[in-house]
Amino acid sequence: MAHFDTEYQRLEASYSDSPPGEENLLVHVPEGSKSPWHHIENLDLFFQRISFLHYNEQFDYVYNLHQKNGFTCMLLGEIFELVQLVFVVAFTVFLVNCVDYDILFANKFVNHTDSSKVTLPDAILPVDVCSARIRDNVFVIFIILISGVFWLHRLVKFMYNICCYWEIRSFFINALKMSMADLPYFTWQEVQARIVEIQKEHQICIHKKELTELDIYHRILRFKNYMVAMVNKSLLPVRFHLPLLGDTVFYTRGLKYNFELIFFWGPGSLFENEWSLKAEYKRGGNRLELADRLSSRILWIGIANLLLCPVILIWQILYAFFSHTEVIKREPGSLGARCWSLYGRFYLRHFNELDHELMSRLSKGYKASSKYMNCFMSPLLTVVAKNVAFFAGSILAVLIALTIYDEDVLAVEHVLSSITLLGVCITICRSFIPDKHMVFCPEQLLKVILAHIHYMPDHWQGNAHRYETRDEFAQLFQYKAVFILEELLSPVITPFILIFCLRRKSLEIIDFFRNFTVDVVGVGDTCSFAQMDVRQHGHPAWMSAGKTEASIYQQAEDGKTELSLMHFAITNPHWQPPRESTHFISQLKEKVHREASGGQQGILTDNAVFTSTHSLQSDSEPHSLIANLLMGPPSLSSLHLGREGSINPVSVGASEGASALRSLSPISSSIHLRGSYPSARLPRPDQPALAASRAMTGSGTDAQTISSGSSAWEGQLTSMVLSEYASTEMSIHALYMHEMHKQQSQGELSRHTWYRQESDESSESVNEDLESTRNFPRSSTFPCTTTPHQEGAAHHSSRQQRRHGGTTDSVPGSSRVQRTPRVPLGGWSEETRTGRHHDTVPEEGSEDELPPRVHKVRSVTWATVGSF
Amino acid sequence: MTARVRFKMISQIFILSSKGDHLIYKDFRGEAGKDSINVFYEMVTALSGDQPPVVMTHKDLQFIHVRQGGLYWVASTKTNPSPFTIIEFLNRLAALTKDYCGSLSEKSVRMNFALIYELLDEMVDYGYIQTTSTDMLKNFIQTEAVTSKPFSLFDLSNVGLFGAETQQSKVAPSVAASRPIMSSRGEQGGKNEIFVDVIERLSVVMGSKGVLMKADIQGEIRIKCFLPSCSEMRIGLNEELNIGKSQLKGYSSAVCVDECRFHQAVKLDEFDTFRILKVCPSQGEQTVMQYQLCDDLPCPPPFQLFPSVEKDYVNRVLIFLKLRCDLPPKSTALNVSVTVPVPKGAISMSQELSSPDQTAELQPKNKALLWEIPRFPGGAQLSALFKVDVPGLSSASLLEVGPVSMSFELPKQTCTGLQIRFLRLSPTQTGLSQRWVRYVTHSDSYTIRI
Repeated sequence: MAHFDTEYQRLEASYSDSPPGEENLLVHVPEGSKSPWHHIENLDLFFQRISFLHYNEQFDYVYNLHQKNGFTCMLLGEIFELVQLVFVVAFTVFLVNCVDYDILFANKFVNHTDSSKVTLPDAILPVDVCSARIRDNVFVIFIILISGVFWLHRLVKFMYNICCYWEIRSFFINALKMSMADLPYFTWQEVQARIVEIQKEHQICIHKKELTELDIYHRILRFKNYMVAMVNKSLLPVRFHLPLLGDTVFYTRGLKYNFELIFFWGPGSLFENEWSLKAEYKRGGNRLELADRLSSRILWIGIANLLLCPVILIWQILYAFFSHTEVIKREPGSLGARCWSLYGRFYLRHFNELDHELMSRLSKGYKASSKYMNCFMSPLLTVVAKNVAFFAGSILAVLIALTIYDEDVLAVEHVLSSITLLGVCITICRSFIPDKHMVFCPEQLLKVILAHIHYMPDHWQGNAHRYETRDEFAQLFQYKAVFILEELLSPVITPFILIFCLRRKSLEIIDFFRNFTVDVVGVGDTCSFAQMDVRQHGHPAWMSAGKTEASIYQQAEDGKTELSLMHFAITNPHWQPPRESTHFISQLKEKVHREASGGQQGILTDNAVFTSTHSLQSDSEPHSLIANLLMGPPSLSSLHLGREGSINPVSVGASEGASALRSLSPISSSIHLRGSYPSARLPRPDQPALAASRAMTGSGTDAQTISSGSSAWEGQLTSMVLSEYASTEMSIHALYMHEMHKQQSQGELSRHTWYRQESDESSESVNEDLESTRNFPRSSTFPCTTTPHQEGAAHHSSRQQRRHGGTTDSVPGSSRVQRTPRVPLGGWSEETRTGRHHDTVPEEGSEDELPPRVHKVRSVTWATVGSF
Repeated sequence: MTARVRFKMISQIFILSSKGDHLIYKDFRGEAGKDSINVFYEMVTALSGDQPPVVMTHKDLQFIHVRQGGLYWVASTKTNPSPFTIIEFLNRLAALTKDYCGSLSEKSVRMNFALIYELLDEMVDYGYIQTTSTDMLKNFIQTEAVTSKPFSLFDLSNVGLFGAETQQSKVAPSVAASRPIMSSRGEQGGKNEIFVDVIERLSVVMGSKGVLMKADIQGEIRIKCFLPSCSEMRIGLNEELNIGKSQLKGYSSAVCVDECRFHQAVKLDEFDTFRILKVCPSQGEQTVMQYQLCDDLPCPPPFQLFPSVEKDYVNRVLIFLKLRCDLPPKSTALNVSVTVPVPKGAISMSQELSSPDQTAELQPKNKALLWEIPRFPGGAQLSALFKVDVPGLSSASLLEVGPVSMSFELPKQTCTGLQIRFLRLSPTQTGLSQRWVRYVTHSDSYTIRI
């Protein structure tokens, strides 16, 4: 043994369980074996670090510049923002101090000599009077002063930004070889691909040889990922239980600004610079002290908010007034329109999802969402609204008629204003009267919404028709009026939230940042959730069971890790995920493929179905096909198909979904393979969808391989198409995963009810069915050993079959096809029923029956997904 | 019977000093002549390189040896025993010697030869291994260990005046643990001590720009127990100790370890939940737990080197080394030595060192220069300039200034952050027993490429 000179330390006798703090006394290990020297680097690297900082921010700027369509647009935008600020302040001051309202309202007569007309200049006070009034008014001067300071701050920031953006502009032009004029034609994916290329040549990030897409995303979204994770783990105090209003969500821009100020960039925040958490927050030792410090900081910021509250409030009111009044006057209905709430944006956002991706996703879901919300017209309100509209309308009609007869009526006092008011009233009432010709199916609509927004709480499924669900959805998708109101209230409420709610959470926040921050080489400290590592943060109920090692504290809720991973892998097909994640993705994709190929065979063996798909795809745009599929649940799809004018078996829904997915999946896989298109996957070249997709794929891969040389337009086109496909694929995967999750979490239950219904219809088929479900998993194409069950199924789905003339009966090998229609039908109604018991009935899984159940669940799920 | 036992027959056991002096020689079976010692020593020294093979054969005689404490511990045998049994036995012999003599060195072996012969008598009978358990042997060994205790003022200052807690009573010198377990009756009182060592070995390879290329940590927790009888000892480790590899960790203060092994006597029923090791230690030294961490350094590497090598005149190489210690400012590194390979044929060297306590010397035999720094405070940066005269220097020979290797000792540091939370004896014994802990990180191999 080597001889050491180290001295022994006395280990104090402690017979009680030593509290954690005592360690420091006992043991001399060294404050900071993970110490400040962690981040000190070679002095020689110092200058490189500066450039690191530079480029760290640069990605942010690159993204912004790209999203703002180039330098000129961005410059103009910023300038106008500054001008707007000046204008709002100046105009308000002018309105308050320099207008003689008596003249304007004709309470006072102007003694003009030549005419009796009042002109606008008459109403304006002369300059000296005006300035004297301003000078006398201390409050106004105070406001002007504050806004002046604010404006100067903005101006400095603007200058700084301009410098940065100018550099980024030259970065675009020189390094990325994109001219500013062409910039709008490039998608972000292409810009990103070029950055990755550039890194290989120029080493813009010195810590790493190659940049991955994930690195770039991490840098741009560093803080947003934290916020998303904090919302996901319900760390931020944004949900409140109010005595009258019930559960509410209050999350405004002001609150968000304050959160960011506290956590990320304000003075004394947790981060010491753009990319690294302060060292002391990385150690658990003095967490209590740090939490104290944080909470006192929150207190001070809250107090500052409270003091500034009047100023901010006035600003908010003015801003809201100037920006919204005109719109409301023009179309009062816009107040009844909805928008995605700020909370919703954070709840629905994936980890590592850029703004434009999120916005396009949410915008796609907008129509379905508003339709869904419109389902819930209260009949009472409708009756009232109808009658109010009637009365208001009659008065309005009379007034208008009188005006038409003689326009002097308008000159009568308040006639014009009452006409305007009545008009507004009618418009509002009309928004409460549902469209007669609309057919609503909340459950399906919610599915369609889910396909776009990708997240929803478990208990919504099957409860789409309930008001509770609607109310909760309304938290994500709120009225614009509510949004504006919340923004107005925000300055008043924010300080109280900070002082009373956030402060209590300071210890949790400290723990959160310590536990969920990882240092990624070349990126700095990022939120560990954003690594999307299924192993670290997977949720066992979201198909990562067995792969995840996360404790409950570490699990991301709502399958965020899994869905984000899927989303990121689909949007960035070049990205190489870490091993476990690759495994997860490939497993999922394989599952989908297997189900899809089952469906594919169903199609190919079935001529009737084939023709029907043919007819469906007449409008050759793949996305609308998918849209059809998504919109078309069994009950609705018959409507759709009826419109198409061809008679289809219901099973078309299922196999369509499969084929759609299949026609999509070669694309993504061929991107991976860089053009090696698996021709074996194309059994029939004359099938339009596949042929089309092959064409797409061909061009897509060509574009991918030669994109650097190809013209901007071409790249633009193909990458647009590809991103469209990606989003569709993601939609389907999201639905699939949610289905899986649902089945996983309540599979046992649904099976029971399932059988009960089965036994209602034909008691002897129960056992057979049990057998057949056990057989089922052995081949994805469903063995033909299930004749008794087939009868049951046929019996069960006879309603459907009758409607469509029973075309599928004679089809060979179509037992799957026959089986599938039954599933959604029974499935839907059952799920609604079981969904209600979701909370009360505990899950009990008997272990020996687990494997068959799981398999059955998968097949059923696929069928349901496919039949949208 | 013979078939089973024959494999464990040992003909001779002898202990040689590094210079080949015969310290201990015992022949059990008379199968081999006494000249086998010389044969062995010639074989060992004839081989170049630091590590001669553990098992060597000469005619029909097989030598199995280990090196511990700078000594050769050799067993020779004519039969064909399991080499691992013998190696284990030799290691155990060395450990026992250390336990009984206090420390392991040529001097202590020389002084305690009677004790060691007594030990060997009890352990081996006619070439057959009997027992190696300290508890068993305790009953048979009568000889007192002879220790050479240099008189030092330090020991005096250890005595607190009027029982006052002096600074020294919080700290025990590193030699405190190296005393024989069978201490003389005279100083029995107050010496019921337990020493816990947490020792980590660092193997680091760094690239030329300070890039970490390989980093392994091997650690062990050793107990040296001087209690005459101890029922059970509970050792609490950090509660946040993770075992198993995971790719990314948060900044939680968790201590991560890839894998660990325990002494067979350790009971682990409380380990999973509370990270408590339960062990009934016998007297002497035991390794309770071994652990390792591969390809990961929870702390940054303790030393960074910024070298520059230039050709100065025709026959002179200029080696400028800047060494920075990245430890926290309060801690220091001890016994730092830096070995820089120099071109072949270097004859002389002149040096410029930043402080007088550092030394540097050229070792032409090893083609290396050795720079030694006895104390190196954390955060400091030392530089040294060496001018090496090499006749017939070519530009190619500049490349011979190869990877720099370092050795050092970091007291009060564990790279993994592993700590002993507490050490409790149950049943709750007298307060007489004293517990000591020390944390050391030392370099196993620390190589920096130039």
